[in-house]
Formats: sequence, structure tokens, C-alpha cells
Amino acid sequence: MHEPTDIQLVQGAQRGDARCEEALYRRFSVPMFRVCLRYAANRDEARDMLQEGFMRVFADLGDYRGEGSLEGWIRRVVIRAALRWLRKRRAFEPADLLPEISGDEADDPADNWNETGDLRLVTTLLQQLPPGYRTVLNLYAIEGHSHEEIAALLGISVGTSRSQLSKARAMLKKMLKHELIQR
Amino acid sequence: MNSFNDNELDRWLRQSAGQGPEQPAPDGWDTPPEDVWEQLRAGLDQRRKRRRLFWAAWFFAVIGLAGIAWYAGSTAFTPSRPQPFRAEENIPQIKDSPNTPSSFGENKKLQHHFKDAKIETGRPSLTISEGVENDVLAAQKEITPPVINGRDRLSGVLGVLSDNSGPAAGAKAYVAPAPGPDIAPMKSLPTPFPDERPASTVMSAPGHSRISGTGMSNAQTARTAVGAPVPLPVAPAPLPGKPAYAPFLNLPPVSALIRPQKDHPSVYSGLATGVFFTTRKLKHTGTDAPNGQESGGWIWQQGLSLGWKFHRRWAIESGLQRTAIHLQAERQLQFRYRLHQEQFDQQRFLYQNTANDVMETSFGAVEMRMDVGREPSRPINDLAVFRVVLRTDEQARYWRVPLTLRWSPAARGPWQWNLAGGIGLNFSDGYELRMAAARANRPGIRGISARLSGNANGLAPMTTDLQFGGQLAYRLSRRCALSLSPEFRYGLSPMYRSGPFRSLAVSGGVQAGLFLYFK
Repeated sequence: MHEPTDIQLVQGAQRGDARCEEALYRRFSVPMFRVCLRYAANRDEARDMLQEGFMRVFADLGDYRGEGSLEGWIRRVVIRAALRWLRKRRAFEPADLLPEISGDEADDPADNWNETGDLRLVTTLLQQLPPGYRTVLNLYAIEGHSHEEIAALLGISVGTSRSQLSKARAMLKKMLKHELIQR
Repeated sequence: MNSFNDNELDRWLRQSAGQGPEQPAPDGWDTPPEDVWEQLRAGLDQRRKRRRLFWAAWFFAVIGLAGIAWYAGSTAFTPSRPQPFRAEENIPQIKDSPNTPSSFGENKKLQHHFKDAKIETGRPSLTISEGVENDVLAAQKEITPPVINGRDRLSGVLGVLSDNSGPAAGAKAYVAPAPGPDIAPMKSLPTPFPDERPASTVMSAPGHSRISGTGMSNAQTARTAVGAPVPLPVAPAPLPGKPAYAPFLNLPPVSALIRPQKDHPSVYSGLATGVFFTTRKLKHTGTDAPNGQESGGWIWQQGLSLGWKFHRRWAIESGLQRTAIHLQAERQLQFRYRLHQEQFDQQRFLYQNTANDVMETSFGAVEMRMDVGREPSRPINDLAVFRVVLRTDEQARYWRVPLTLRWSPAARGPWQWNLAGGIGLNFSDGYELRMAAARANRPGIRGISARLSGNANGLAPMTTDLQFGGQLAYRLSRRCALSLSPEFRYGLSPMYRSGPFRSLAVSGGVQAGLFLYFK
């Protein structure tokens, strides 16, 4: 029995077919959970983001016009849901309110870390960053937004975005260096 | 990786985020908990139930409104006094009094007296020009769309009908004017507007390598899709000043991420012009009836609208429209002839008599000045009363403020449609009455004219109506759309302020418009 294509799943889900909805979720839940893990501080937060993201996906499935890949579209929706989730929890505090990086913190090993691939390492390191740093770093370095766009997305100033990115990089470099030393 | 600059760090982050395995990790660190799907399932079921309730409510609301409309339409108007006189029927002819000479010429004494009389005729109350008379006669033959554009003054321009044989047995009933000009059909529309987002919107999740040169994308192993893979668009060239992305990631352009799915702008504005057929529904509440048989008329409407889309499916809209209620009727007026007021017009060889009167119209009582001419060969008793039939063309202009709620389904492609409902507030802004005399039910009465000397006293300053309709739009671009909106309006409050009967305006028509979307 052949697997339905993405378009078929979308059309079925738009009609309200529960099986297509579940198949759509099963197909993209793992990649999207990985995305949420990068934006969240732990699995629980990532789970909440994923749930909100997919609720949004099913609500806005009618807006998908078939232009571009379905996975890319779902990814954008999930990221927006993650940002809304973070905004609700006032995660984007001004840079001066966030704790400064100390050498002792960088020495603490990440939880649940092993050498299985860089993806897990990146995810684990990102989860250790403060939420503001983590989000700006994700949006700038991985998603490719400009500071102006990040400021508009997160409701912060451009200067705050630059400051948080700079501090996030510095913090990440220290953590990465610590991990490499431990290897 | 002991020391690397910011760009290298960013590149490493991107590469690491995109190099995840297709299958979940064995220890399940990247597998979402199962309860996520269970909660999603519950939420989707609840949403489905809400949607069913929503459509059921709509269905019953439409049924209910249809029932109300049917009930309102089935209520007959039964005035307590006799029905207005129908113009197509013969009005009874008033015979001459037996004391009046049957022929003026038989009384030579009177003829002599008349000939030598030096009667100041003065200026008649109305000078009927030949051109006007021709126009009136032409109007009798043709259908005249009396579109009131506000420029014509109500100066009592009327027609004079020569009626030497008394009641015109073959008089034609007043015919409603022809409809206005058709809305010009749209020319062939351009192809659907190009997607303003960059061509490539492919975004690769970690674990889906898009290394150029590989054949089948290894995303297939995760999805196990059967069949040829959908060819993926190539990522566009990086924008100037932006970091160069690794080609195999095919990251989407920035604008697509910042404002994806921007097909639901929040604020829009539009201009529309339309044609409506409007009439009024009468509900008897007292003992009087409106004078005359009425028919509706075509009107033009222009308007400006402003809308706010507060939800993906819902929008609220308001605006300002210029509209009018246009009614035509044949009405009767009783004229009391006073001999001491008549004056002889040598030019027209008629006795002119003038009187003020009040006539009941669609919008209340109006004061008017009647002028009639009497043939010298047809004497009349003092205080004789006869009926005059007038054709009236009334227009009440309004400024209309609609409050509309629009619902639109998911938009696919350039064609879009929505349903709308709401109320409209109509603020009175002028009244105009045109009259053309038809005939009188007395031989020898000629040169009937009437002028409005006041305004309709019963015109309600504000009325409300209920509106239903839809809209079909063609998006020319992200910011612009053409629309066609059929609409039906049913009056909720009477046009006649304190009259003995309730009159509710009923209209139906279509508007064509241009909409602009701001954000």
C-alpha cells in the first residue's frame, strides 16, 4: 500500500479526515519537535510549542496553496507558534536584565548529552542559553533573519537583538569550548 | 573548533541543525510524547463540533429571517378608507350644473361682457413653454427614467395636457422607468497576480539533506513516499548583504519567513458604485392610506468603505454611501375652485385659478400650489371641487452608514468570495418631488400645474435597514482587487416619521467596486 503524498494528506485533512490529520502529524512531528527543542529550554516546553504549532497548522491548513514544500510551510507555522509561546511567557527581556555569562556556568556539562551527532549537541547547547539569547540566535544564525526582522517578530528593538545575539554567541562559544575540552 | 569567528559559528549551527538523521534517535530524545497527539486529537474534535454548531446556527438564522420576511410580506395592507383611485380606471365625470348655460356662445350678453372686459391677467403662475409641453408629450409615449441628479430644481416643471374631451378614457397607467445603464462587463482579466514571495519557499528540516547532485532526496526514507519525488525549487541567490547560505540547505528567503501567508491583510478600503431597485413596503397602522399607487425605481449608489479583518475568516466593515429612495406614483388631489380668485389669461384664453393644497405622498404630506385653467366656455360653480390626477416622482436622498460583518472561506487563487450581513443607518439628506399633471375629472379644466412649496413633513431623519449579500472579488495583486457585490436590504424602521402608516424601504441591487489592502 503506497503512502499518500503530502498534497493528498493536506486535502484529506482540509476535508476533516481524521486519518489524514493523524498521518500528517506522524509524518512531520519528529522534525518539528527537533525545531521546537531548539527554541525551548527543555522537553516540556518543546512539547507545548509543538502542540500549539500543530493546532495552528491544522487551523490554517486552508492557507497552504501548494507553493513550496509542505514541510517548509509547517516549519514556519511551528516557529511562529513557538515565538508566540515564548512571548506569552515574557521570554524576551531586555539584555541588561539577563544574567551575565560566567566561566563557572560554562563548565557545567549539559544534561543528556552524548556524542550522537552535532544536532543533539547544538540542541543541548541552545537549551542552556537564556530564552532571549536562544531565540535570537536561532532566528539569526539558523533561520537567516535580519535584526530588523527579528525585532519585528519578537517585539524588541534592533539594538536589543544585536546585543542578545552577541552575548548568545559568546556564551555558546564558551559552552562549546568546554564541551570540546571534555571530549 | 577551538576558536572561530561569528560567521563560522553561524555556519556550524546551520549545518548541525540540518544534519539530523531521518529516523528518530533510539533513545527518543527527539520523539515527541504521545500525549501531544492525544491532546491535538481532542482539540480537533472540539473544533469540528464548534464548526457544526456554527453552520447550524447560520442555517437556522437564515431560515428564521426567511420566515420573518415571508410573514412580513404576507401581511396585507388594508386601509380603512377607500383604496386610492387607480389612474387607469375612468374617473367619474362631473356634469355641468343644470343652471349653467350649456354653451357659452348662446349667451350673447355674457359674450359681449367678456369681450369688453378689461381684466388684468397678470402673469400666470406658470409659463409653460412649448419645449416643455413637447417634452411632456414625449414622456407620455416613452419610458422616462427620471434619475434625479440633484441638479434639477423643483420649479414646478410640468406638462400641460390638452384634454378637450374630459376624462381620458384611454389614459395609460404610469410605467416605471427603465433600469439604469448596465454595469460595463469586465474585460478579460490579467493572469493571476504573480506570487510576490520569492520563488523558492523550500525549507529543509534537520535530517533532510538537499545536497545538490544527489538523486533521490533522502527525505524519502523518512517519509517512505512512493512515486516520483516532487521536484524542489532551487533556492534563490542570496540577497545583497545577507549571509551566504549553504546551497544544500535551501533556506527560504527572509521575506517569506517574516510575512508568510500574508493573504489576510488586516485593513482595507474600497470604492463602489452600484444600481439598486428600491420600493417600499406599506404597513397599515392607522386609518389613512398613502395617496396613490406606487412603483419603485432604479437608483444609483456610490460609496466608500473601510474594513478591518480581525480574523482569518471574519471582517467588519463600515463606510459611507450616497443612496436614495426613489418612488413614483399617481396621486389624486382635490381642487376647490374659487371663482373670486380666477384671473383671465388673454394669451392662453383661459381663466387661471390658484390654490394651495396639501398632498399626501410617500414621505408624508407636502404643501403645494395648484394652478388650473378653465375654458371660458365651461363655467364652473364657486367652491366646486374636482379631482386632479398627478404623477409624482419622489426621491429622498440619504447618507448611509453600513455596519457589515463579512465571512470569507480560505482563499485559493485570485478569485475570492465572501458572505456579508449587517445593518445600515440611513440619514436623510434631502427630498425632491416632481409632479406632472395628468388630468382632471371635469370637462373644461386645462393647464393643470403644481409646484412644491414645502418639504415632505413626514420624512424620517434616520432609518435603519437589514442587509444581506455577498461579494465576489478578483485579486489583481496583493494590494488590489475588483469586486462585485449583490445586496438585498429590508427596512427595519419606517421612512415616514409619524404618519398613519408604516413604510419600509426594500431594495435589491448590485455594486461594483475596487478594493485596496493596506497591510
